[in-house]
Parts: sequence; C-alpha cells; structure tokens
Amino acid sequence: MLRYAPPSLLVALGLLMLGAGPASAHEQVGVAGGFVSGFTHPIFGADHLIAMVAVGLWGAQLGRPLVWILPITFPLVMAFGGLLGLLDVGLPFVEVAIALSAIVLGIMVAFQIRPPVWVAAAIVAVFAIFHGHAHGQELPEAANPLAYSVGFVLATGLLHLTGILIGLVLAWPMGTRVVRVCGVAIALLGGWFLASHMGVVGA
Amino acid sequence: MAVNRTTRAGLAAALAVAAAPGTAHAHLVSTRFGDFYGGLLHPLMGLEYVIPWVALGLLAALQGSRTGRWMLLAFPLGVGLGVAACLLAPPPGRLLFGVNLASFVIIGGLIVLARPLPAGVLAGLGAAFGLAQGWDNALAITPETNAVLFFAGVTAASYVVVTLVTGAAAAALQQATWVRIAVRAAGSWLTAIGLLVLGVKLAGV
Repeated sequence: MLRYAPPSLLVALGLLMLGAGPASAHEQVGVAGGFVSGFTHPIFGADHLIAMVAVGLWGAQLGRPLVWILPITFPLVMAFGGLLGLLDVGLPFVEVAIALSAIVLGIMVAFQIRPPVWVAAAIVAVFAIFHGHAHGQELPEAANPLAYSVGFVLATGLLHLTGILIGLVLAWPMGTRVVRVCGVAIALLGGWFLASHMGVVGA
Repeated sequence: MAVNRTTRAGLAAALAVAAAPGTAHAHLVSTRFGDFYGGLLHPLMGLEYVIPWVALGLLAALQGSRTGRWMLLAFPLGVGLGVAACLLAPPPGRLLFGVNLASFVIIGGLIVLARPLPAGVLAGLGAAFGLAQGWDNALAITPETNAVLFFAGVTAASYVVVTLVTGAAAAALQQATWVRIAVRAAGSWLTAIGLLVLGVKLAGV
C-alpha cells in the first residue's frame, strides 16, 4: 500500500515519528482514574443507562421546552439523590424504583403521553432521586472525587443527549413509529429488570 | 502556480516539524521567569480551578456584553487580591474549600436560571470567587518561589481564561438558540458536580 503514498506524505510521517515526545500515560493518575471511573459508572449499569436514554428520548418527543427541561432536571435532582446516598440516608425500594423508571418512561414514549410540563419534570425528578441514591451508595473510593463527579455527570448528560439524538428520527415520516418502538423496548427491558429484582426471573 | 515534487516534500516536512514541537528548554528557571509560567499554568492544571473559571465566563456571557464585561475586570482583580491575601495572612483552611465548592453550586444554579443579574451582583460574585480561587492557588507558593512573578502569572491566567470564555460564549450565543440551552445544561452539570463532591467530602469516602 505504501507505494501508492506520495513521497511528501512519507517524508512528513517520518519526521513526525522523529519528533515524537514521551507518552505520559500515567500523569495525574488520580484525576484520570477518577474521571474514567465516574464516566463508566452510569454506562455499565444497564438499568440506569436505558432510563437515562429514555429521559432524552421522551424530551425529544415532547419538544420544547421539555427537550431541555428534562435533561437539566435529571442531573440536578440525581446529584441531590447522590448526596442522600453518600450520607446513608435511607430510601426504600431503590432498585425497584429504578426498574420502574424505565417502565414508566418507556410507556410514556411508547404511548406518546404528553403531560403538563411540571408533571413531566416531576416524574423525571422523582426517578432521578432513586438513580442518584443508588449511585451514591455504590460510589467507590474514587482517587479524585472531583474528577469522578465530572466523569459521572458528563456521562449522564451524554446519555440524555443520546436519547435526544435518537429522537431526531422524528423528523422522518417513519420516525414516530421508530421512537415508539424504542419506548416499548425500554419498557420491556425495565419490566425484565423489575422481574429480576423481584426474583421472578434470573438476573 | 505549479509546485514541483521537491517543493511539496519540503512544505510537508516543514508542516510536520511545526506540528510536532518538542519541549522548549529555554532556561526559564535560571532567568527566574519560570515562576511566572508556574503561576500561569497552576490554575490550568487543576479541575477545581478550570471548571469554575469557565463557568464564570459562561455566566458573564449569558448576562450580555453590557453587564458581562464587569466580570472581565472583577474576577482577575479578585484573583490578584486572593494571591496577595495569601502572602499576608494564613489560609482560612476549610472555609476556602467551602467557598470554592459553593462556587460550583451557585454559579451552576445561576447559569441554569439564566436570569439577568445587576452588574454589581455579577461583579461581586466574580470578585468573591476570584478572591477564594486566588488564595487557593497561592498555597502553591513556596519560600523558593518568586511570589511577584507567580502572582502575575495566576492573575494573567484568570484574565485570559475568563475573557476568552466570555467572548467565545457571547459570540456563540448570538449564532444559534440551542447554544443557550447547551450553556444552561452545562450549568446543571456544574451544580450536580458540586453537590456530588460535597456529598463525597461530607461522607468522608
């Protein structure tokens, strides 16, 4: 393949390799480790993940102003729930509530339910407390608490954004059906998580 | 204009060299200007400084150019006073940490609300948080550090960061309506980060 490359490109590549600096892969271990740990935390929990994508998807379906009110409400209230979890303030049925959040949000999307703005925000806020509480309880001994929190909140926000971006298909004729099918899938997955928490099916 | 193969190779080589700069060892330590750059870089190397500085720039941009420009004066002034205060008085310890943490929650909350603030309030916030940030940065000064150069470096960094962010955000806000939504969402993230760090500290995790 190299014989197809122009000589100028080869010269440039050669010089770039000569000018290579040291790769400082372990600088600020605490910051990098904390960030990666926080960033992956919401992504590796499937029940959290689908609920957060559902928030963005529902917002996209509802349009303005909820397309931005819901993703702003969620991290704010989730952090408050995280604070409660970190301080060991008891909250009942946390895992059940998290599974229910996927079911409820999935149903909202599947049936295109359009409640008043404050009701939609309240639904998301209530579930966000449980999500935050669970994250707070599961928080590892982060190398750098600030970097962990930055990664954690950034990942949560990007999951909302993923839901909103999926919702862009609403601009196409088939988009409404695609989004509603996504809602059905989210609700079904939530049902499966609920059943596994209740011991009805194997986890 | 025809460019022959040799010229092309030469241009590519020059670009490659320019794109891969190595570390410049200009003997800054021996010229004593190293402490200026030490002060300049110190706040840029820590999330606890960079994030609220950027957030203050976003808050100023949301206020519009007439009000927002006061931040460009008040914040560096506060940072400079903070560095100077640290040289004259002992650090206030946990109070300093509390103010810096509160800055995440308060600035983030104000960005989410995106309500117009009186110029005096905006400038007061910038000066107050700048004071705490400058004080915190100055804790890095050791007996060997040239405090005047470090002071100049930190203050210059605060001016450059807050001015660039305010200017860039103000320009972006005029370009598209979604930018305002993105900035407000960033404010909610900032408040959430502040609350989580508060929880971690309170819980002693």
